[in-house]
Amino acid sequence: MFIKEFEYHRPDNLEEACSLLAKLPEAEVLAGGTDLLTDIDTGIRKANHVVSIRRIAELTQIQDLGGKIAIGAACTARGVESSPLIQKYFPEIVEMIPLFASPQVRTMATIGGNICSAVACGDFPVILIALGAKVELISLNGTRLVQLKDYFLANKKTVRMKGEILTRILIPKKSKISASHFLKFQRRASNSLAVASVAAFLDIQEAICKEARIVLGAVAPTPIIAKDASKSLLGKKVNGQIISKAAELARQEARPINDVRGSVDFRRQLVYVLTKQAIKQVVLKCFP
Amino acid sequence: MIKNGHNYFVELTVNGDRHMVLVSAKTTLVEVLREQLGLTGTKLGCGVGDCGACTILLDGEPANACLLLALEAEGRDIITIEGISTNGELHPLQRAFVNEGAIQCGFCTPAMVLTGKALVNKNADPSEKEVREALAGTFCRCTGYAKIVKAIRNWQHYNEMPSSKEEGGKTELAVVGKSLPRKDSFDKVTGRARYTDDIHLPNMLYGKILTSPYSHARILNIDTQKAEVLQGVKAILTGKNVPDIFYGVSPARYDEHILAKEKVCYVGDEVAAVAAIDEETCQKALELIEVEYEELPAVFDPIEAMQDGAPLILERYPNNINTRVDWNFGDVEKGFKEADLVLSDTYVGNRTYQSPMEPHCAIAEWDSDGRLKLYTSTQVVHYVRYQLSRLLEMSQGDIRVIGTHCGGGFGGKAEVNPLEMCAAFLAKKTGRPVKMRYNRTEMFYHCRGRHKQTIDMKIGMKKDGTITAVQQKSVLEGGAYSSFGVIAVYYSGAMVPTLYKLPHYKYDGFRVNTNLPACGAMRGHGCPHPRFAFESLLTDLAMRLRLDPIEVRLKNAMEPDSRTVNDLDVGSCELKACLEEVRRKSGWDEKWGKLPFGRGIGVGCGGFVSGAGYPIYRSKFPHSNATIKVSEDGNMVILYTGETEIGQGSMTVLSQIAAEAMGITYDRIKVEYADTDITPLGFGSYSSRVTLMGGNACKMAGEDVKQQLLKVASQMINIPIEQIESRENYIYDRENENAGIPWEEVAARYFSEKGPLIGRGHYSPPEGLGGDFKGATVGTSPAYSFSACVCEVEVDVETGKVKVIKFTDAHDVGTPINPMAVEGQAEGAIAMMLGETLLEDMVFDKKGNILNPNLHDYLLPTALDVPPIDSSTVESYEPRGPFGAKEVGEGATLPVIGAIANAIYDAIGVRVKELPITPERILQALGEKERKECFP
Ligand code: FES
Ligand code: FES
Repeated sequence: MFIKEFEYHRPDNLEEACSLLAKLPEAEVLAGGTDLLTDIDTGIRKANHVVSIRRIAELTQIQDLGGKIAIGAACTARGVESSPLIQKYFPEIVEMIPLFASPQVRTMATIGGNICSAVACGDFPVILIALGAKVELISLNGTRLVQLKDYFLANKKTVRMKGEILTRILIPKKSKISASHFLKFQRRASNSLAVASVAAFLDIQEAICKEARIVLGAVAPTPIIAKDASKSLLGKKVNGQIISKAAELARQEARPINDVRGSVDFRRQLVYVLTKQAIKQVVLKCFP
Repeated sequence: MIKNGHNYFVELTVNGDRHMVLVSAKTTLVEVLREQLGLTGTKLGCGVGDCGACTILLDGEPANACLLLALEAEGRDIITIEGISTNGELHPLQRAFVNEGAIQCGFCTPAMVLTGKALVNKNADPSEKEVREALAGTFCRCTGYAKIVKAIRNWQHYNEMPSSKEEGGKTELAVVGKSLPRKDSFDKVTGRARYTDDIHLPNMLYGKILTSPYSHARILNIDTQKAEVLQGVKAILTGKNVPDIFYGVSPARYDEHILAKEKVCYVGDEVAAVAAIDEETCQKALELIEVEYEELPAVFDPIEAMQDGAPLILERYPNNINTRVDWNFGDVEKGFKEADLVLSDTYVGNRTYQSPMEPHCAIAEWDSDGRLKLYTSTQVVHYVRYQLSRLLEMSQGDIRVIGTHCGGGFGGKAEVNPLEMCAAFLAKKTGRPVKMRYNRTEMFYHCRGRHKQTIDMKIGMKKDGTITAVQQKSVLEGGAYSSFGVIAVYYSGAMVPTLYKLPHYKYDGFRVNTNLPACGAMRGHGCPHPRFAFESLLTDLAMRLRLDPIEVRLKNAMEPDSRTVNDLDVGSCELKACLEEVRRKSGWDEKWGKLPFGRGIGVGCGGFVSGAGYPIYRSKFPHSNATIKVSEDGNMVILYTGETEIGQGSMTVLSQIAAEAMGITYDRIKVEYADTDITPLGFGSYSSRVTLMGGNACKMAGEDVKQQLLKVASQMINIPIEQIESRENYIYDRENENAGIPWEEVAARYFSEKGPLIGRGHYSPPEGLGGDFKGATVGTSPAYSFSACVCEVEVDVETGKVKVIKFTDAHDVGTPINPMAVEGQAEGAIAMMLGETLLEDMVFDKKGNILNPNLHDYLLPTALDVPPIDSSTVESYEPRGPFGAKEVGEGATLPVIGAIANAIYDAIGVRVKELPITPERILQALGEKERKECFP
């Protein structure tokens, strides 16, 4: 790699990090570095300054806040995977992590980094949006919370403004009768990028679907909620026919592109199949 | 961390030691480890987090050192491969790698050991699945992962030092035929093995090559002025400063210049080269070189390229036809008339790339006598030297080429490369050593991968399954230059008649140039795609005639001591035994045609030469040569061979052969190889030649030593020489084993009386191999391997995804010299071909740029993609081979594509005739079938 020279900063606390980001031109936040370094290398991102946040203690914690779980943005995939809290409340995230990246990358890559990279094929955002997660953004001007589903604007573009740090991901705990499931289609068994991914979240009360979110990854510039598909499940008894219909809607809602990983048609087909399978899995989890 | 100007002092804890290093903000940990701390066991395979070769343990967990800034590593516990053994003693896990045969080229080994270590630290007895999951972030291109998984699972068996395995009773041979650990395994498992990039010479410069951004363009002007004045730049070369001498592989087709003279013919064609104090300065200099191009129309499709009026790439090949083959053996028309069923179909292969885990690297240095020394990662030290002597216009004797440890080749390092040539010229110009290496993207553009073939195959068959005639047309898309293309197009036809008895065979071959990177020789050279076509069509014929595909193969299988329709002499041949073996082991009879929809089983066969019968350029030199030097005390023997070790285990096998021939044990022999000053000529590792040819030379050298010793021994123990035997370091009376004397005593006596004890051996293939038609030399060989493979798959008909469940394969490799190494070759070949069948494909855009020149979109199989492999050999003896042995490395690739393709067909009832067989293609094929059924 022939990375352009930059200056390195390693603030000890959040305030310091915020003020550095506010004052430095073309500064990038460095968490795990697995995306950032290659992006700087290929010129996708310019950085004269790199502000490392891995050592800021509060960003690497996972906390139980009663109704929700807060994950520090600088938690690594491995940290998330081995956290007893996540294992207890969000086994679907734990299941997702082996699909996310190679074991080595999982040691370094962070949950916040995967969100901030904002690539179409990122895996964390898909399951987190399905779970209704919010992200906390902190800057010198204060703190704001953004629904993760509203966080992404375009490929590699987000609502995060200059000077802001994504600090925590807040995930509401699920009720007993809700569940979610993530599926990813990759060309080989491991260590590769999603051709398409789907996460489904359903809340089923007395056999009727009260809440549903079908989230699609790698089939649009950002992760998207398949709104029609999600809506089609509401108020319904989730049976085979309803599932197929939702999957068909999701297929139509996908906006994929052709690239080396797959064609438009193929990706739509994958969305259909994965949506169907993901909803089925959720139903199984709700009614074991 | 202390800031110091633009840099930072940082303290790193590596293997328990603290090091204060000076780094810049962007310095990665892998650079610090390799370049500042000299811990070169951490390998650089891609630099972007894809390959896993740079794995270290970070606070006990595996991590990619190429993605970690040195500054970020401060305060963390870093363990590299050098930190795994203590006081020179291997960790049990390392011992397991050595003894289970988990190491081949060794480039992935440090990463595999470290990931294995992290796993067993947490879970001492991991399951197969857990091990494969843990390994999934590191590619191994050699082993097929089977033995690595086994080593990690069995590591606890190696808590004690393994006693050298006592194999029950005395076997006929003492060293040959045993699964001994590799000669280089200790160095490879500890990170001590030095690959070219691990060598650092004093005062060394770095070099880099500027390549063309256009697929076809005339060079109008090159302005290097700005680059020349850049601080740190020491020399720049363009086409103007290199000799007007073409190089290449086959003398009739030398068509490349070191740097483009007038025009460039593909994106990646070499235009200029720079030497500077470091690679980054080189890179900056390349950006400052201004090249004015006039773009020319380009052509990428071979069929279009052959049309009149298509852009002409090289004047010397009218219609861009690089090589045309027109073979006609027997009378195919007559043969087809005799058939009850004739089927024909078109099959399309894929452009695949060898992707050795070690990137190419070369270091050139001139000494004060005006001699050139070149360290390089190559399969062929001799041919590199030969080409350099032509290009530098100096005698071969003034050039010393040293093959270092080589992290895999598979044909991709079987010819001289631009790094070797440019480094030699830049080192000459600057008077300083110059190191040049490719990054992963540059490797893909340099290419020399597999030709993409489009094949029309036609087979006639009688009702009873007898093949009556075969007709084939192959069009090979070859890229801009010849490389090995002329040989590939001959091989595409030559090897088709070797497996089955074909009474009539017609072959039309076209090797066509296009404006893409050149294709060369890749494992199985020219044969896998036609074999895929043939094995697919053969199964189709069997199905239509309601015959068992294995029966049809048995019916037509080649017999020992036959002459093929294209005049190749087959000696030993146990293809039938291979087929019987896989039928039995795979449960074929219970499964074939009986599995539920979506599951399938398929069979394929293959085979290859054991070394090419003729050299690449005309010479009378023996193809393989060996010398042996016995130490004065007789306790150690050094074998010198000019062959190369590229991971396949050739040095181990040659040592076993020589030791057996001399009557010494394996621990008493060391081997020096691939150093043209020291080792005698050997043509190197290509065309699967080393075991048979190198082996015969080493055997002869060993016997030479033995004969000299027996004479002395005969006097010492007073027994006639005919009655003396030498075995396991003991020379004795065959009639009375107690009357003997230690080998070393005889050797020491020899030295005292006669001076150095030297053995010499050489090997040339039998004269007059092959017919006398044009191109008859290609395909000739002293011996041929044979193999059969059965594969079971599961196809998800909704997504088209194929899961390979199991491979069962059997090989006729003659008598194996080292069964564990043979298995390793077969397992590696299967994994590689699984990748080529299902995953791998170089994809280009409309301008000739590669869309996936990296290891995240060019998909190599991971440990989780490769299923269990049940590999075995059948009993066989090749009289022309050393101790009955012949090849395995390439032949083992050949049955695989057909077996997988046939299994998929069995599973879903439709055939995908284009490689790779992707989920998309499977869905398309299923869709077409459905349409046909609805609207017949
Ligand atoms: S060199 Fe680091 S992953 Fe390839
Ligand atoms: S031994 Fe694994 S890459 Fe060669």
